[in-house]
Amino acid sequence: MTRPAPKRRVLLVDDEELIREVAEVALAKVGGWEVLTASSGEEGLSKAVAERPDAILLDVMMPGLDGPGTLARLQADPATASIPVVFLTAKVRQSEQQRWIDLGAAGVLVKPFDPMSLADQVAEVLGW
Amino acid sequence: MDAGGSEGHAHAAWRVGDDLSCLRGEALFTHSRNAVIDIDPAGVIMAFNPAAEHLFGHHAGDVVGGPVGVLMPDRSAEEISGLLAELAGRREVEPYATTYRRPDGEMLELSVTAVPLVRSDGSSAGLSVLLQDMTALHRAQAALAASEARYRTMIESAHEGIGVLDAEQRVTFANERLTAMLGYPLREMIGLGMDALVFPEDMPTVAPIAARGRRGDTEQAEIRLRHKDGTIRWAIVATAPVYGEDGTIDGVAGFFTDITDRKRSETALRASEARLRAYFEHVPVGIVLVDREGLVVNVNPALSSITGYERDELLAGGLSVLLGPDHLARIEEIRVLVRALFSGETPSFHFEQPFVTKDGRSICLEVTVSVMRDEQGEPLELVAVVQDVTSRKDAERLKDEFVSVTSHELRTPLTSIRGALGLLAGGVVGDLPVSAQRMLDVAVVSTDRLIRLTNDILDLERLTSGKLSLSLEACDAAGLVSRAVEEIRGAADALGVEVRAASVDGRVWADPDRILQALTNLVGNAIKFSPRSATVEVGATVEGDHVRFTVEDHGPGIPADQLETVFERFRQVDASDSRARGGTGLGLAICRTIVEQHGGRIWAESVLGAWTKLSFTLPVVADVEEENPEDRLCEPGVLVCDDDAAIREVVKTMLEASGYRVWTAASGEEALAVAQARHPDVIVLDLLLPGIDGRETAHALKDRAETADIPVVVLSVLTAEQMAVEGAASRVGKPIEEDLLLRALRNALGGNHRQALVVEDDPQLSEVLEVTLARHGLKVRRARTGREAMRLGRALVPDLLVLDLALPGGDGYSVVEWMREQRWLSTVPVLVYTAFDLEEADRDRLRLGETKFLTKGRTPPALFEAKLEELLDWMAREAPRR
Repeated sequence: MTRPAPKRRVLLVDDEELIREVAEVALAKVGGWEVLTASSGEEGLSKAVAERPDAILLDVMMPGLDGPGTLARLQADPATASIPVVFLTAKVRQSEQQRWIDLGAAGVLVKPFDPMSLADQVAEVLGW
Repeated sequence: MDAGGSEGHAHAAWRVGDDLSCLRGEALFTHSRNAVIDIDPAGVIMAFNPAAEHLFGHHAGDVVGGPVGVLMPDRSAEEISGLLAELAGRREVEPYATTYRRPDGEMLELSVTAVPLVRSDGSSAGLSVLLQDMTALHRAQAALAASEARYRTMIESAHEGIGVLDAEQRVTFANERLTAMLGYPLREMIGLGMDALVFPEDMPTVAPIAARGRRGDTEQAEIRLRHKDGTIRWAIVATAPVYGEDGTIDGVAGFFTDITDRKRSETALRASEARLRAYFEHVPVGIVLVDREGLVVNVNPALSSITGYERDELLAGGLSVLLGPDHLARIEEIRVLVRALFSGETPSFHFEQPFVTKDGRSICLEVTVSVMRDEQGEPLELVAVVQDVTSRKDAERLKDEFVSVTSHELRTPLTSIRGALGLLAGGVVGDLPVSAQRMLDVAVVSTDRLIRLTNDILDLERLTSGKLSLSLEACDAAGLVSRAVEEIRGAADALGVEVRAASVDGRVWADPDRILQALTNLVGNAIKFSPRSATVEVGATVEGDHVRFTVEDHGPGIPADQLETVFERFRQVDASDSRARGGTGLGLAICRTIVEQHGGRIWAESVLGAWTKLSFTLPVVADVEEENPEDRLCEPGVLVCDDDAAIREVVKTMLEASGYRVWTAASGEEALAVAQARHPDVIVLDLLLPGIDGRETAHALKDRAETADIPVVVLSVLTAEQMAVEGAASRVGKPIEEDLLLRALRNALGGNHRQALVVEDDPQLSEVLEVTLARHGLKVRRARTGREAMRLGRALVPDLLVLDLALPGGDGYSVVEWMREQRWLSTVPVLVYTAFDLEEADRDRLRLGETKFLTKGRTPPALFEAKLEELLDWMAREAPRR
């Protein structure tokens, strides 16, 4: 299951600690990636600037700066504008998902997710 | 026998013993009103009294002494002697009836009594015959009988019951009608006392009426009679005195009209009125009665408690109180609906009405209006039922919030659980004993099921609450089917079931996401219930105004009594199926909700052990691309002038496909002639032409008044500088790039103005709109039909679309739908101007670029201009002039 180098670095932004934990294990152990985490949109922004991850997995509904808001800020900053963002959301409405794609998201994955295939799904969305 | 002798004989016959009797016989003989004829045994008349003279019309002197046959000339001698012998032989002196024709021809009815005359020695002295003329008496009797029969008929056939009471108040007569009314045979009725026939409580009323009737004081009254079976019959009675033969009153007649049925319906009516009044007064919903002129004629107490206004205030304030501050506009809208109600198009209509109660609370009223008609079906009054639905609205809002929060709150822990279990079961955090692994697999499967259930419940909730509005678009049925089949392919392969898309046809109005959800659900079901290596067929066919989608499997089938119920929530053919096959029990309920929201129908057919076919319908999209030569008349006309026939043909094809009417010319001269004749909207001109060249042609066009205002687009292989032609609107190089040419034409058509396309089938309104838009500097093109709008839209690519919705030949929705698919048109700002009230879902279907909505008849001109200016401002900001 472990993917060959270069080792991908992904930033996981979710306000739910348990989901962060599970997703981190799924991406790190199953996907073999280096996983950074942030518990809010704001923290995600600063980590994105500081760490320049290869991709960002972004929760949609978060207190404070929500997912789409975070995406807009990422895109507005030239330092982070090119980092692909994948939404990870419990919202299943197709039209909303399309709207986020239109906003510039690379893809949308739904919660609850299957941890054994999460990394594969992310990789597929990003063309890795 | 001589005359004198005969007298002696006659008298002798009466002589019984003394003179007195002789004298009496003589006097009777002479003065009797009856004819008396004495006949001797030989048939000779011996005596003939004056009455006989009168009766027979013969003089005594003429017949006495002659044979009796003289009196009966129509009888033979034998007959007469036989008759006399018979009379003489009679022992009893009984009168008998016979007829006699008098010499003057009159027919008389006679009563004949023949008395044998016997001498003292016992020998026969002949007969004394007494004849009584019965004719007058019989006539009078016959007349009397006829008259009585007439009266009897009248009485028996009378619609009224008629009865007579004698002085002892007993029935002496009753006609058939009366016996029928009271249920007695006549023989039982005769002799009954009045008290047996009158309802006891009414006796004090009836007895005096009978008494007064007996005196001749006739009067009418409503009384109750007693039927033989004890029930009450209502009657109107009138009386008349009955006179006896002596001319004195000896009874009273009663004339009875049966009004039981009327009384019964009156009673029923009173009861129903009372019931209705009770409803009206006590139902917990408000009721308003409005007459045809819009006047509030009654309101019930519930309306007062809902609105806080007293009945008098509501009656006085009328509709202006009930419909609030913009009641005039509302009345106009409602009037349209009321017309439909009166004409019978709809049985009722309802609307929601925001309302401020007297004490200032904002509430929401739901009003249902129906019409009350008279017996002829003419509308009498409007009945508006008013309910306060504020709390229901609040509850709906709370439920929506709850569902939305639950959706998030449930999924968050489920995500962690599923994730953690998945990692454990996947062996990511270390290997586990087999038994623990098994338990984890159970937990993963159950969690997946719980997730599906949560999703389905939330989906169904959002669908049924109407929170999930549909975004309808024209979809190819084939696309929907193949996407559904593709989506399910993996699961089908895993179960070893083949899914095949059978014949697929048609385009539908649908929200593709939702229909895909329904289709995958149905196909998913079908494969789950299919045996291995069976086939599931998915198809779609056009049937009239809808497309029918079908999913057919060869599984166990659905029993006939469950074909309906399988669409209900948590209703499966076999409840254990839900666990065995991993369903949630909500799939078909979701499908039904989705299909019904699309205005379609879903149903199941099945033969147990053979096959099951689930079908649903969706409205078909009419083919808007249908050619109609008249449509082309509204298209902008282009004259293409080029000496190269191949280029002319290419450009012509290109432009026609883009919604232009095209004429061609091969030379400058020809171009001038065609321009003069056709007056095209724009001319595409090659510069290098034989004869007069393009430049000269352009000048010639500008020189002529008829063609001077036609913009010219120069088309040439020359460079931009070389192409510079005075007065040319723009230039397009060769080889021709379609986009550049089309844009050049559009710019040339618009000149320096922004262009608006007004789509409106009412010519007057269309003109008004054109004037209004022109005032704001817009150049206007008008289309009357949906098809024209599409053609003109393609040619012009307008800066603004003003759109009516109800159009012949493709409605406003299909215009927008089509424009969304066009590269240049998908962001055109729209001003929707329609008579319809639009739901949010309708509005979503109508958005292109910036889109505003105005309602005809409710938009004052100032508001129209304000909205228009907003759009123009937006265009100035966001859409630079081309």
